[in-house]
Amino acid sequence: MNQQVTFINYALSFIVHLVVQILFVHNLELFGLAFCFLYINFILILPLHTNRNVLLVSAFGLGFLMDGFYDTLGIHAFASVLIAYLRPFLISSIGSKVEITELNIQNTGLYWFMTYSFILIFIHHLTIFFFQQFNVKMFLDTLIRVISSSLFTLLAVILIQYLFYSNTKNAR
Amino acid sequence: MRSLFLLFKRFQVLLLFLFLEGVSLALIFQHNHYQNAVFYNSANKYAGSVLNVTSSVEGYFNLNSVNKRLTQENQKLHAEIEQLRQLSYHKNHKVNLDSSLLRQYEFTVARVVNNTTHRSKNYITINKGLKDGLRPGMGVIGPNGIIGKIRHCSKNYSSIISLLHSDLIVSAVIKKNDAIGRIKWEGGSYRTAKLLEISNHLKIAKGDTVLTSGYNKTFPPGTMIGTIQKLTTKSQTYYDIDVLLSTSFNQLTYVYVVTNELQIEQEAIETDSLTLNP
Repeated sequence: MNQQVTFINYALSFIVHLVVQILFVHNLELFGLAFCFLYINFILILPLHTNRNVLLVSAFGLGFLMDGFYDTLGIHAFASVLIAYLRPFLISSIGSKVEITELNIQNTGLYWFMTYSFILIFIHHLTIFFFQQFNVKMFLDTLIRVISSSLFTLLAVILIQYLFYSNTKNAR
Repeated sequence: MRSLFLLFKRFQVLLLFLFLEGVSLALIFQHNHYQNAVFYNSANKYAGSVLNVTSSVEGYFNLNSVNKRLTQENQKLHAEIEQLRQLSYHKNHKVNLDSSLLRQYEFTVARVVNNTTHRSKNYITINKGLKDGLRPGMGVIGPNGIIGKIRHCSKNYSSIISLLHSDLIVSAVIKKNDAIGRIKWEGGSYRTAKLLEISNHLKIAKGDTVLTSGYNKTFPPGTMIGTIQKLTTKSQTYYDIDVLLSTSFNQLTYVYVVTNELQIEQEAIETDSLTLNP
């Protein structure tokens, strides 16, 4: 029963991330440099002990759907699967002090959450932009876009944490 | 036995990972083939209709600036009509223009529902498709100049290769001295493209107008492309020219799809002569 509820919760989260990305942040850009791929927040906040196969398949599904809207067949799927695969390794290498199940800023603290999110976001964006550009001539230009976009997405992810998760402990 | 099982379980995730990445890579490289018949793109029915909703919401917020641009365009068109009227009035000699030549180009208005400018291969999606008589290969122009070429059509949507796409090369001419070159976008800013193959003995200057030439079947000859912004002589034979594009690709709303009634005929005769005299 409990498992079913969790499943529905995360299926809903999947849909919400998809809709928000397509309807609101799809065409968002700052100075023609920074783009927001907020949908990977879904992968970032899945519970700590999520089955890794589920993690990979759902990341692939989300990325593949995104590709349909960005006309980048395969690129988002590739990047999303990559970070979904790296996620458990990253978590164990950064290490967490307390036994937690839910990954949110309240449980992990700002510093841990930022480090964790930024590394994954950066890898994801780096993969996407380099697949899109695909030539060495524009290296610096692409790198600037990767960094500014990563910061933009990170800001959005942290903002969401403060908006939706920071008071849940008190509320419950 | 237990350790073997654990080993397999460990491999299972890795294998799934490699499998999914393999699928993604296959998709990426298949998609990169130009003119490949890929059906999964933003011209498909579902993505198209969602993007349509998004752009109608955005369109509402942009109404003001759109109105302004439409008014400007109307003004320009009126001016042009007036000019042509004057021209025909003052023309004393009669020229029998073939009626098929007079009606060679027809235009279909479409709304842009999705558009990018920041990649090395940019695409635009519009809300007209096969149902409205659009076909892959048709040219797309805007109020200020050329925009791109249709790549895929679904029933209600089409996806366009923008001029900001490394695969699109357009034959161009400098208005002042009829020098023929080719326009190609080589990445970087969405405001400028390169004009290639202009010999450096020709006299050209900053600010000269660049138009489409009569050598292409996609765009009507004499359609605006842009003006020369920077001009250097790096190589022995050719200029290195930056052209400031007249279309601002980051604010496209309405575009015109060009139907060239004689395109098939022209292509047919060109392939005929190729097969006769290879």
